[in-house]
Amino acid sequence: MYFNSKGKEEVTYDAIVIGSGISGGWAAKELAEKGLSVLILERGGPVKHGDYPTAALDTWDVPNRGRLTEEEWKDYPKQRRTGYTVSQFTKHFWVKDTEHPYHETKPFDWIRGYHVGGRSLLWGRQSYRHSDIDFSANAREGVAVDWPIRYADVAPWYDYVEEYIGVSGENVGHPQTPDGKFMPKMPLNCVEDHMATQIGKKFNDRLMMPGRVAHITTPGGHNGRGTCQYRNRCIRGCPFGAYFSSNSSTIPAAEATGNLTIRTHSIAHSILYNDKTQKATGVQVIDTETKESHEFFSKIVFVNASALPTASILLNSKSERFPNGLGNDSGELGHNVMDHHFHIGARGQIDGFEDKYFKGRRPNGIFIPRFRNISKGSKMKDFQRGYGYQGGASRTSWYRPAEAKIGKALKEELIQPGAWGMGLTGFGECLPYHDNKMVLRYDKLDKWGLPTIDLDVEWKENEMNMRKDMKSSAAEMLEAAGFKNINEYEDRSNPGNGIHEMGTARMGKDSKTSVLNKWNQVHTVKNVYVTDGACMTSAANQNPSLTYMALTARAANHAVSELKKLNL
Amino acid sequence: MKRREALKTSAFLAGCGLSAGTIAAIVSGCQSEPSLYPDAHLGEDHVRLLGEIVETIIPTTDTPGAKAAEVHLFIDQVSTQFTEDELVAFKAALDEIDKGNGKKFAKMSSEEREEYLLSIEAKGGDKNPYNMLRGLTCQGYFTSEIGATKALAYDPIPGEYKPCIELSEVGKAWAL
Repeated sequence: MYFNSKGKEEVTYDAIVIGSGISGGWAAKELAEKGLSVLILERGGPVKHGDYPTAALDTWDVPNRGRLTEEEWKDYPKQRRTGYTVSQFTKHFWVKDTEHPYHETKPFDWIRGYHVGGRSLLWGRQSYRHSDIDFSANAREGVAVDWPIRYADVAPWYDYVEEYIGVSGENVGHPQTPDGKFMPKMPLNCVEDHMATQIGKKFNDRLMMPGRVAHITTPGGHNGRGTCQYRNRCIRGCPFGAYFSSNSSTIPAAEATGNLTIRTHSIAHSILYNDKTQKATGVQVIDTETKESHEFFSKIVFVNASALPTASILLNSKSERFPNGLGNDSGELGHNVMDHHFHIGARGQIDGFEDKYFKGRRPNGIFIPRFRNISKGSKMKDFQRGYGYQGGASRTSWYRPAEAKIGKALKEELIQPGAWGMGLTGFGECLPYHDNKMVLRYDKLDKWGLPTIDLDVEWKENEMNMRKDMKSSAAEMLEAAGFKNINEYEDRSNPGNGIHEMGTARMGKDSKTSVLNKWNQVHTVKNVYVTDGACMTSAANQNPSLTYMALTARAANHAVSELKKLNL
Repeated sequence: MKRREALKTSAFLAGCGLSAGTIAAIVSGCQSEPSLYPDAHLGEDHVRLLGEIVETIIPTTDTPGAKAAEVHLFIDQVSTQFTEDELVAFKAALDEIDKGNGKKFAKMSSEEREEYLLSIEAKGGDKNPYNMLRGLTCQGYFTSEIGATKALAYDPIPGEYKPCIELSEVGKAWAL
């Protein structure tokens, strides 16, 4: 079964990158630009930049005004759980749950897309650095294991990535959300500006700023990518290339070197390991179309399949040396699953801005960085870590309750914009817990004969206590800023719904308690690097993709330098 | 997630003063635009009546109304997503409206139609048929090409973001 019709040389590369999403694209670009021949293995099909069929369509151009029919929803019962991701405009980018099953010992929303670019096409684009408050948190509090790195190790790579991808934002000097290399910010609208001023006046521990978002806001540079057109249709793919994706940026850059090969429809089955050399030798692949197995060989392997599949591939890579999965001496592989908990906060309305409006649909909102547990004075009694707020102000539209009930008066009322409202949604850190885990079910194989993932993850006391504060502090700030009709809200927030799953192959100082070292190498198999969300030792409360990209660029640089020294 | 839960969390349908119960009763749907009423899911008579109802709710003014925007056909397509019970109740509500108050709905003047529909609304209730029809009409109208591009301010590619301008510069709500 395991054969390649080609000679071994033809299936041998310097590096194999598993996955083409936000971190895999970066790995491929960095390695290819440094002269390595690179093979990307992508389990889904191709998406060329610009191949975004719904980008210019309106509600009346698609069936059902954009919504799926009940018949269509039958393929997406789990992907549906976000309430916003799957529509007639986007359904081709999300997996059908019927084809890609997983199991839930406890409720877990695993939301994903299988295609070149992965979720880099679909991400929220919010981009924040992690600080030493985050990198030292586990050590300071005696939680899980210490990160083997600190901010100074990553800071130059944050600079490098931000400048390459283009991040618009504002430097504010906040200790837990470090400043960076930003393009001009997307400004606050009138009501947000009012709110920011009020927060600054009334809370000396808090500030509000425009979201830092991976969009180009001034022309020039960035390999010809265009500036944001304020359409806010990012999730369909941006024909202007204004937000960062693998498709618009890193993959074309890697291709331009002439060193990149992309093999689509290729699921990584396992990493091949040589007991004698104690190194990985390549990757065994299942072709999704033919169901045949193939082997590809390389000097180094970057695993960037996203946190859950990355752990799945490593767990399924069994050998005499590693009967429980490649590099899994610690038993931590597949454990410490984290995400961000949210769907909680407050909304309110405000008077006095009725004659104000805006032009353009800003694909971004506001950010209130963490203000709990970042200093002695902000220490909370009943929870560790903290949360930030995202949200924004806008005017309601035709879907609001109208005073007029019928006829011309109703029409004229709804043609006008409604009241100004502002919402704040907290995004909270989840601690790493060993018993929040995924396991492979070998009794439930998928259609390619691979074991399926079973998730056993829950929020615990620390998260639940934090949530109470996330709700009440949001209302408190809206009230202080003069909002009325303030509504605290809390909706179901299953783990996974933040689409920030991470932690399944954590970094650490010791192979007995962690999977990866400070360079993202598997401790015991040094030519295997894991630089997606799996590597995270703690979650922080910020959106994590920027950190994945920075760690990937750093690890790729390390890998090439080690290859040159003949250490790998 | 169950369908009703998804609807509750969706802002898309939560409009036009709909109660939670009404929202839960609505599911949208329209696979293709049937060109002839005889193909209508609700039947030709019901769709013809709906055309008059939606035009009463959102009439033609200086911009085209709900009938020109084919909101009655939109509602017919939505009805393909109803459960059997919802469909029976919806058709019964339409029959009731058709009957009118001694004078058939079709025979009423537009002022009489408004008054009559408001009398149904005044009866209240969580599944008030008028509130449901109004919600569907607003949704169908403002997501239609006519509603979005003629009644509202439509700007598919703004090209810039101006965070704080006078409302009078736009004059009405943005469609998108």
